[in-house]
Amino acid sequence: MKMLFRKALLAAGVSLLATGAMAEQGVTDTEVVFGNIVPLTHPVTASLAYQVIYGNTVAAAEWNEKGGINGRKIVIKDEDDAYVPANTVQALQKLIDEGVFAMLTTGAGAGVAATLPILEEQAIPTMVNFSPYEPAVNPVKPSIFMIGASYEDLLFGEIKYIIENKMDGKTPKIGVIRQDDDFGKQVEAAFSRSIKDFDLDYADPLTFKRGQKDFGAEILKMRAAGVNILIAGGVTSEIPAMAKEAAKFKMDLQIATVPTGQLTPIVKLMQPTGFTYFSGDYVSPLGSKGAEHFEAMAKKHLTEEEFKGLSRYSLTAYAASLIMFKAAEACGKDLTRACISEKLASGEKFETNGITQPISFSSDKHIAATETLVVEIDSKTGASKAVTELMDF
Amino acid sequence: MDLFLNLVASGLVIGSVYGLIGMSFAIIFRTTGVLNFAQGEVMMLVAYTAWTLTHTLLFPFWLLVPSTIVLAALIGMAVERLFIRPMTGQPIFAIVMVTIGIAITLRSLTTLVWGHEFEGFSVPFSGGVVEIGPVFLLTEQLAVLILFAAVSLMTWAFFRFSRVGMAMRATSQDETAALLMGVDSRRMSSFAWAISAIVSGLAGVMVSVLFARAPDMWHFGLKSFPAAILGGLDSPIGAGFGGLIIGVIGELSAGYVWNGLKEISGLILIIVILMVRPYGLFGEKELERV
Repeated sequence: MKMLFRKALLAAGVSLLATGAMAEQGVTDTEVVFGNIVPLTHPVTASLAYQVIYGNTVAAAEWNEKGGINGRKIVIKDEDDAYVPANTVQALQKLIDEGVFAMLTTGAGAGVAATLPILEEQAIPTMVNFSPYEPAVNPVKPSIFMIGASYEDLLFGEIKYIIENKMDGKTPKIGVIRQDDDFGKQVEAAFSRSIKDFDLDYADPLTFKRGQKDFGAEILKMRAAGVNILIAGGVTSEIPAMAKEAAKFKMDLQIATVPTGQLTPIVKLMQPTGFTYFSGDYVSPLGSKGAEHFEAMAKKHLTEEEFKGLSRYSLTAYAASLIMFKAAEACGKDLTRACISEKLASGEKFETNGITQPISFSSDKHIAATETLVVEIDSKTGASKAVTELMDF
Repeated sequence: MDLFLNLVASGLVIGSVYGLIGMSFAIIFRTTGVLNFAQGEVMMLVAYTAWTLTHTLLFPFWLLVPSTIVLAALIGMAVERLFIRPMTGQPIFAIVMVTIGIAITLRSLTTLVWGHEFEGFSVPFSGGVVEIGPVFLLTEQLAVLILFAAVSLMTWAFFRFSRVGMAMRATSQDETAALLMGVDSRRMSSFAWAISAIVSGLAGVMVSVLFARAPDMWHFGLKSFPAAILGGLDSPIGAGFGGLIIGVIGELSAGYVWNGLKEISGLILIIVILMVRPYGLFGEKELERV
């Protein structure tokens, strides 16, 4: 009897171990848990963080309505990193402890950089999209994928357009005022590449600490150097602050900005400056035909207030979530991290319901949707229009 | 010369903002001995409230100014009555910790009520450009300079000539003696918080007009604290001038030496000044008779 009991205990133990080994963290018979890290409490970027969450929410709600991922309900756990890389690491650790299967967002550029070693070591499928950070996928890391052109490509596209179409015979002289962090380094990379590729005259690049509001000295230096193309490398309200100073000195300036330049609050703050300026993007703008399906879903699954808060960041988050969910579904019932990474890298084309061109990755290229278009924004009227087709830079 | 003059003008503008907030630090410290680390947040709360008055409730500008002053005073008095007065008699360190708590609470409250979005703050005088020789100023920048001059003058006159101002000075110099002379120190404390909230609140409105009404504008409180230290924490006018000095030094060092100096040059200056005059440029040396 005693022997029988021991055997039964052993069998139960072996079966438990076997189940444990097979079951993937964050996946049960009824649920798949995804994680999301965004700067919810950072005063400047919090609104962008919410816009990302709205995009994720719409994608999950749409998918769950259709029965989830092979019958498993999608659950998203959001964590806040307040735009501090150390917090991004803590947030990721917390999500891992709570049993997250894959990551839909891992913070802004510096946050992505900080979490890369953990993501790579634990082979967590991750979709970088909030803030394109090329080192995340170059060199290729098996479980990490990214959609969206880098800031370097986006800004380079704008500079190219400006030089080819907006100089009216004037000799271009370029300047950059950029944040002193990883984001800013990407901005400066566009500046350096433009100088090299177009053999441009330039003013020395200037950096500023995150949170700086007054750009009097910086703009005065640009003016003294005779700059007529400025990369305004702020994230949000720094862009209109620079433009306001430039407008005060009646500078004849072409301004290139990162995609946040298209956000409604920025466009409104730019209005008194009277500048027509540029931004770049890789997703169909809200209100366009490409965003129709997303907007219909958002209307259905978000509150009226949330719907009003949508932006291009909601679109990119929605597209990234869809790709992740589709890859997960392709794995069938046997959903593992290895499988999802394999499916993503398989070269299969993932539709994003019109937001982007169909997206595909390969084993040696984990970045997609890198084609960018240039958007011209008339601050006086608030109107924006794409002035180029999607192009690869 | 053109660059130099415009850098100085730019420094005076941002320095005026630092100076106004620095003054509000000094007004409370001079009267009550408390360092209010929630000054930037009080400034932000007043600015947000003023924004609602003008952009949501559509107050005309002539009504906005007095309404903002009254509201700021009420906010200052409420903070003092609710959080500071119950701490009377407690160690100063505990009171300072309470002000840090107030700061965090006000930050959260502001984003809870108004959200995370930043917004423009338009006033009738904004948007124009004034050219004074080679110097270019936006009309709102000129308004900040005028506001700084007016507030400095009024603050000086208030402490110098008014009964309440003199009573506040008496309280700061010797509270027991002031009490014996019939000065209600609790009322003086309340007045100090109200005046301080008005001064920093007006600065907050101007920050919103110059840049944006944004949930990170409380940073100006931190940036202005060195102004108060430089000028002298017990000297509101000195703190105001401390702001101007920090603003101008910051712009000139960024313009001529290295851009990174903009944020730290003022602090370097403070270290140097405090080594020579530990009580600040305009502060009074405390004499102890034995």
